Order: sequence, then structure tokens, then C-alpha cells
Amino acid sequence: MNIQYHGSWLKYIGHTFLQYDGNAKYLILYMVALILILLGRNKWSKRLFLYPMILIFATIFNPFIVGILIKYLDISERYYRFIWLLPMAMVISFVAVELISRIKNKKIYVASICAVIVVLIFFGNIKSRFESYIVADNKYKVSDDIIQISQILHRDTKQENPVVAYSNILMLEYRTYDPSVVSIFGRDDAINDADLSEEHIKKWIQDQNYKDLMYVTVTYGYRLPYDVLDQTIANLNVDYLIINKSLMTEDYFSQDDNTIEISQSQNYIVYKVNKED
Amino acid sequence: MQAITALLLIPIYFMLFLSFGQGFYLLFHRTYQPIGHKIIIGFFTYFSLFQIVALPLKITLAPLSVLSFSWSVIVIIIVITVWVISLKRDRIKIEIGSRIERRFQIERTDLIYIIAILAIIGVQFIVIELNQSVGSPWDASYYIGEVVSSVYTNTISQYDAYTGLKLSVLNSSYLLENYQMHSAIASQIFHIHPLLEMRTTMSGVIVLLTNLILVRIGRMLFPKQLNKTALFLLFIGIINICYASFFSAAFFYSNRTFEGKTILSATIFPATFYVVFRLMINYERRKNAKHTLEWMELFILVFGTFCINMSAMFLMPVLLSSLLIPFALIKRRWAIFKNYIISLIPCVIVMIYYLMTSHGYGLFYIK
Repeated sequence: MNIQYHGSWLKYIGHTFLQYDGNAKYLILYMVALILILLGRNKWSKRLFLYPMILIFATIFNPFIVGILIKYLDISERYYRFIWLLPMAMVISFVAVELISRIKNKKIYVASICAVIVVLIFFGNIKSRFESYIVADNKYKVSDDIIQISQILHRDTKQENPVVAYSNILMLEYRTYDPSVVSIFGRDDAINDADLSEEHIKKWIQDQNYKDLMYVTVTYGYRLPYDVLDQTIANLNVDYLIINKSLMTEDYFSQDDNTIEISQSQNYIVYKVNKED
Repeated sequence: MQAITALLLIPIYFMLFLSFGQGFYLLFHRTYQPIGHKIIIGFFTYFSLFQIVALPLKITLAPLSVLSFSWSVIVIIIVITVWVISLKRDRIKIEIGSRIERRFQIERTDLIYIIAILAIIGVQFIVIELNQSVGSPWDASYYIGEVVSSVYTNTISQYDAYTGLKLSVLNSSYLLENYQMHSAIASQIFHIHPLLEMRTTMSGVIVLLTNLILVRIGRMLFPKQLNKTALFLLFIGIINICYASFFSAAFFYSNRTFEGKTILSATIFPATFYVVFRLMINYERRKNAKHTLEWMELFILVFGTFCINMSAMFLMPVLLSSLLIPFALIKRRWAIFKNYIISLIPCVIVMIYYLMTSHGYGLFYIK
């Protein structure tokens, strides 16, 4: 999480909390639950949940201290992790159980449990959660594409560690399944919102920045002049290019003498680099 | 077959944690602890010892197979020794006997709640086990990639997870995080793909362990009221599954369950609350005792944490301070301050090492 500092550490802390809570609203429930613990008489809940929280807010989430922490420990990107120390789920659940258990009437008791469940689901934003849920394609829990590509590569190659160039999604996931390939891109090579203007690409060509040229080709579908593409492939010593079909560069690669389509997976085309010359 | 092996590893890991927990309490001649408690402390004892074995082999660039062999031998010796001694002392028979007796008592009175608790845990287990999404693949691919590369090259963390190229220096940010190498040796020993060990076995282990900790906290918060514990667990389970926030511990728990930082946020922090809560209750019950065992439990928890995630060096001191300083002030006991400071020692050592490496000292180069 990267929160920008805009002249006030209080705002910085506030933004961190808001971003942490994301599409959910559990922070509100947590605060309400803490107030109820404060008003209650249970000494253990105070010792376990309330006093520690006061101390954490007085130190780590104190606007006068947070600046020093971030400046000297260089933890701005990890600062949000201190919110993990607040046992939100435990506190909310504990207070909910305590409140419900005071109800003597059985029907109202059951209705209250249902109401709490509805509130928790509503405050958590379950719609948003289920949108990001993907039922596993296979026992490895990677996309079927990766397994298909691996089979294609191993059927074709005689090398122990073929060098591959693929888009950023594969760059992140492919080697978790098949570690035998060498990827020319690492995590630091990813380019977000690449500048694909002619001037910028020309500068990369002049600077012989082959890695970035290859990156925009396989990730953004940028069509380099064929001589530059071949030069890039040769310099990076690439054996295979794996290109997403959605980039619609089939016609571009089919006209390149240096790359041969060997097979396709569901969403990708695998090209072999012709090294016979 | 690999998937079945990965699932079968879950109870095997729990048996190992139980054995290590039993071993921990044998050292203190206090084996009369609940099985769930032994498993929790056993988890930290297990990873503390693993750290002691793995770290020297990692920095001396030993092959992964050496670590696999060494750890297998050590585990076998410890497990056999622990249970032989336990049986010899004739305590285990009594323990099992009394436990079964107590189980039947629970079955008569609270069977519905036990089934409810198991169902709540079971639903979470299935939802998480079937999930393919990790939210953001950037970090997850590093952790799995490191394990896969280590198994493939038979080395310990010497290859870049993303590229597959050999590193020039061991990554100091993850030097102590040997939890990943535990997954690597398990994959090597049991011949399963690291993806299965991490995403099936470890995800399952963490779901069950986290819920075990929460059940035990629930039972302390609501003594002899299993219905309340079941509700407590249900509400936490809903929050964990429904929390639509990319940064929350709950989101990590339900999407990236196998990662070290998830274990830290979703399992270790509740475990810290649990151990400190027990400590507080015991201080209340036995006012003049030294509580050495409870403090040792906390110490082993802090020590074992660094094998799992190094972020603990910043977070754990804050959590321990927030829990123990107010408690020490309430109790007005100097000994609590003293033991609290001792429990921070592993954090201080790791922090010093981290600061050294950020200034270029203490790095381990790969030939």
C-alpha cells in the first residue's frame, strides 16, 4: 500500500485506515465494539482488546510518531501491516456474542443471530469478494493455459532450460508450475502504462534497450520493425515467445521469418525462434 | 495421487506439531495440557527447531537434499523419543483415558455445538481449498517460485523466483524465512509438486490451526459455554470470508493462506493473544508463581515466528508491548516487565541483522 503524504500525518493515518478497509466497513463495527467493551464490565475483554488498542493508537497510530517511524525505518509501504495488530474480527465477534447472549426469548435470540450474520455480510461487501473468487481449474490451482503451455514447450524443446519471453501475467505465474524455463523478465522488469509513442520506442532502439523492447512486444502487442524484433530476440537469446491471443498479433508474427508458431493453448500462441541460421 | 498425498500431509503435520508440543512439555514435566494447546505450541516449537537446522545449511549453500535428509532424521528421532518417554512415564495412558472420558461428557451435552464448530471450520476449509485466486499474484508467485526453484535446482533459496537465474547473494529480506524451505523439503521428500504442498497442504493446515486457536480463545472468553464459542467462530469466519479489502488480514487468510505474512497476521497474532491471555489468567489463578512455563511458551512463539515471516521484527514488539505493558502496570509486577523484555530478544536480534544488511553488512554471497 502506498499512501502519499500531503502535509498531515493525521490524514496519512486516516487514508491508511480507509484504504485498509477497502470496500468493507468493518472499521466502523470495530470502533462501536470497542466503545461497548469500554462501557462493559468484563475485565478480560478490556485487558485483551481495549488497553492494547489504546497503547497502539497512542504510539504507532499517533500522528506525532508516525512521521519518525516512516522516515527512519523506511516502512511506508508496510505501515498498513500495523493494522493487523488490531484484532478486529475477534473484537466484533466477541461483542456480538455478548450482546446476543443477553436475549432470553428463543425466537428473538435466533433472529438476532441471523441479523448479525446479515450485518457482517453487508459490512464486508460479499458481492465484491465473490467477484474475485475463482474456482480452481485444476489441482495445481494455476490456469489451464500454464499447464498446456508447459506441455507444448516440453514436447518441442531439447534444451534443459529454454529461454522464454512472455507477458507479465505469465511472468508471475508460469514458473510456479514449471521451473525449468528461464524467463528474461523478472519482477523489476515489469512496465506499467508503458509509453508506446514512436519517439520513446526509437530511443529504446537507439539505446539498445532490448529487454523493454521485448516487454512491450509480448505484453502490449507492440509491433517492432522485423529487423529490430530479430535483433532483440538474438540479443536476449530467446528460444520461445508466448503471446496472448487477445493482442491479435498473429499476422505480425506469421510474417516474421525468424519465429515459427508451434502450437496454441487456450489463450496463448507459442512461437519457436528459428536458430538454424 | 499427488493431490491425495497433499491432503494426507495435513493430519501428518498436525501429528508432528502434537509430538513437538508434547516434547516441549516433557522438558518441563508438564504434559497435562489440552491436545489443542499442545498442537499450537508444537507448531512454534517445530518451526523454531527447523530454523536452527535450516539456517546454517542455507548460509553454507548446502543442497536442499541435505536439509531434507537432516530434518527427516531429526523429526523421526524427536517423535520416537518423545512418545517413548511419554509412554514410559506412563502418563500418556492416563491422559488419553481421561480425555476420552471427558469427550463422552462433552458429546452428551454439547454435541450440536461441536458439530456446528466443525461445520464452520469445514466450510472455510472447502471455500479456501477450492479457491484459485490469490488476489495479487506478485508476492504469491515469489513465495511459490522460490520453493519450486529450490526443489528443481536442489538448492536452498539460491535462484530468482521469477527468472530462474542464479542469484549473486542470498536475499537478506527473506534470510530467516525458512518456512518456504520447509515446503520445499516436504515436496522433495513426498514427491509432490510444491504448488500442492503450499496451496493444498499448508493452506489446509493454516485454516485448521487458525480456527483451533480461535476455538481456544473462545473457550477462555466464554468458559463452559460452547454455544458462545461456536457463535464466536461463526462470526469470525464470516468476517474472514467476506472482508472485501485487499490489505486486510482476513483477505490474506482467504486468498493467500499459504504465505508467511498470512500466517503472521491471521494465525500468529491470534496465537499471541491466546498465549498472553493464558498467561494473564494464570497470573490471576496463581498469584505468587513464577509462570516460567507460560513465559517459555511466549518465547518459543516469538522465536518460531521468524522462521515464518520477518515482518514480525516490527510488528511483534508492538503487539507484545501493547498486551504486556498495561498488564504489568495493572499487576504492578516487575517480573512481568523483565520477562516481557526477554521475550523481545529475538525481535531485537533480527532487527539488528536487518539494519546491518540494509547497510551492506552481513550478506551471504553465492559462489
